[in-house]
Amino acid sequence: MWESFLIGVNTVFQPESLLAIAVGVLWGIIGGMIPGINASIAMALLLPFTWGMEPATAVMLLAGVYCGGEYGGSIPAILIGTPGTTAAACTVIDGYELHKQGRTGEGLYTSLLASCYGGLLSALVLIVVAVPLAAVALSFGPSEYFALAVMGLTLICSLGGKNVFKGILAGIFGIFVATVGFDPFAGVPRFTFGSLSLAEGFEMISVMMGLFAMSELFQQAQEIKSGDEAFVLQSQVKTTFLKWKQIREIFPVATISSIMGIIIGALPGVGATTAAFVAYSENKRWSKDGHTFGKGNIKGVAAPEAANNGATGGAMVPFLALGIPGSNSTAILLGALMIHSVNPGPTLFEKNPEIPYGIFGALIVANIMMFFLGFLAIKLAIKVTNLSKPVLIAVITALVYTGAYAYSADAFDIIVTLAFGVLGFIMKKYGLPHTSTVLGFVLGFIMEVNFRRALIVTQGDYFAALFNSKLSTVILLIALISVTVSIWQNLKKPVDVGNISA
Amino acid sequence: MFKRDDYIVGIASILIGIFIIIQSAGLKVKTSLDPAGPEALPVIVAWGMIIIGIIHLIGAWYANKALGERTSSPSIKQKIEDYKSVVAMVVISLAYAGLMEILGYLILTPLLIGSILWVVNMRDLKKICKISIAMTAILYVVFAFGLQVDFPLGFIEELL
Repeated sequence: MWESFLIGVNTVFQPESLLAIAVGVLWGIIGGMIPGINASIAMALLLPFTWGMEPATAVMLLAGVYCGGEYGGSIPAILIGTPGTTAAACTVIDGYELHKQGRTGEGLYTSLLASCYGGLLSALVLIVVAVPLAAVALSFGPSEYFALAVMGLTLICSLGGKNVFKGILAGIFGIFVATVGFDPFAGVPRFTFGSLSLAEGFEMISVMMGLFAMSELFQQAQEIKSGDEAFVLQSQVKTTFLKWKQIREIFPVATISSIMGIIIGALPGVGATTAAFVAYSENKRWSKDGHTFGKGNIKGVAAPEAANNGATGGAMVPFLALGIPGSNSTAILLGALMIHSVNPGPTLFEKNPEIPYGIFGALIVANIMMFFLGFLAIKLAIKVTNLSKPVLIAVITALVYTGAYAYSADAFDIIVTLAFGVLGFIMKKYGLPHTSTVLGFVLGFIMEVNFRRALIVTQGDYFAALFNSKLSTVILLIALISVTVSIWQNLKKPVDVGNISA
Repeated sequence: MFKRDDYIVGIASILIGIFIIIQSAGLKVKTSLDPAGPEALPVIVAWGMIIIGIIHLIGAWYANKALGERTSSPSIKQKIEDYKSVVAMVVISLAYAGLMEILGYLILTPLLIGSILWVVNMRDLKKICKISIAMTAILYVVFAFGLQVDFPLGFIEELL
């Protein structure tokens, strides 16, 4: 193995490889920062340029974009409350709160540090465990996937704040939104009302930008009218780097979250977004200061960011070891390799060791480069806070609608973004957490598909489908206990006296 | 946990739940290969929403009882005034989406930016024009040339 690793290292440290990784990371960060352009799209846009490259260099370029893209999404999530990528949706919760408190630097640098650390750790771990971890990932059946999705969903309870039922309500509404469009098994259109635009369901980008960005813009527009300047900032923004004490504080959170990211990322079809939400949820659950999550806790930024970048390495496991692309991004990497007549799978480690180990090396180098390029991106992006509030509202609205249109080339998605924006605005007014809706939307599909698969396997036996293995049973029990405890704690204070006139 | 106005959440939740159940009635396609069928999850979600809706109705009733009479509430005129800018942004956005194919991105986007700037109380027309045109140009260059997005150009396309 070490001989192959050295071949990989040698490939990475060629000047053209280093240049490819640097360009890839920079392009990924820029792509990730633009709402509507996620890591996969940024990778797809570079794909035509890889035709003339060596296979290893091409894959390193794309691996750089993948890392940069997953990180880049967190910058707008913190600065304007709009996640640039779906994986950064969870970062909005604490990141944007930090920005509103004027602690912008803490949010941005925590995100940068956690992302680099998560990505770096996942690459280092993968060198040793890529092949055995692939076997673990394959042992996950539909019941385990379903249980994992349910556990991720328990976060909706705590997102409701003082009212756990509002979190659950917003979450199950998100699951309903995920059911719109063609049924994944029977092919029956559900809740489409004959509209062809709805047949494929709602685009994640439109849902997320509507609920996060547009709802916030409506809120800000309303506050300008009423003379309430809550968006603030400019002169009060602190952009200094983290203190040593804060780095020590986020270190264990980032380590645990990175490991979660690696494992969840290795499961085909689950991905960085789920990893981020699960890591946030579990850190909130087990941290001593879990009650401050959502109120501007840097651990609330470190957890999802370490996890979603940890997932970048994890996603390489089924792709390289088994030839199964577990996400859109790895599917593009697979495409890039197939263009060069290289087929990933168990034999790749023997036939072309420079490619898998080159990717591991590229991930390490990309995450180190990301740290420095991230600094540059932060310095430029932070200038956003110097814009006046009206300009910011108008420009972000145009950017969001442009991003929504760019993703599908269909003006219908602008209307969807707007509709979810209005919905998010109303939800805010009634204390319904829109993050729960996004979580329900992300996990709803995974949950439904795997539960129905489990039912097919168990021939309609619901009990066997739910508790198919020790792993699924334990995960479901943790989820059940978590929900029960949340409801019990909320019921102790049945009336919210904080808003008497409301 | 519960507030006075949570009865609105409760009613909305129950109504959406009932709507989903009614709409799901036509989705029953159970086969031996797919025991749950396409309507299973939506129906479970709907019942969840109805139950939580009922909990909110009871909670709001309990909160109103516990907190006594309201001290004050804003007038309808005040509420309309509060939401004027939001309604204006929604109308502008609908027009933007609706006219995209006809007028095209390059004409509509500066109008979108300009009108939103007006809605959020910017009154310097020269500044509005500058910001609208400059931002549209930046967005167009980034998306059309950098990211190869094909925007509709409306009647400009015919002129070109």
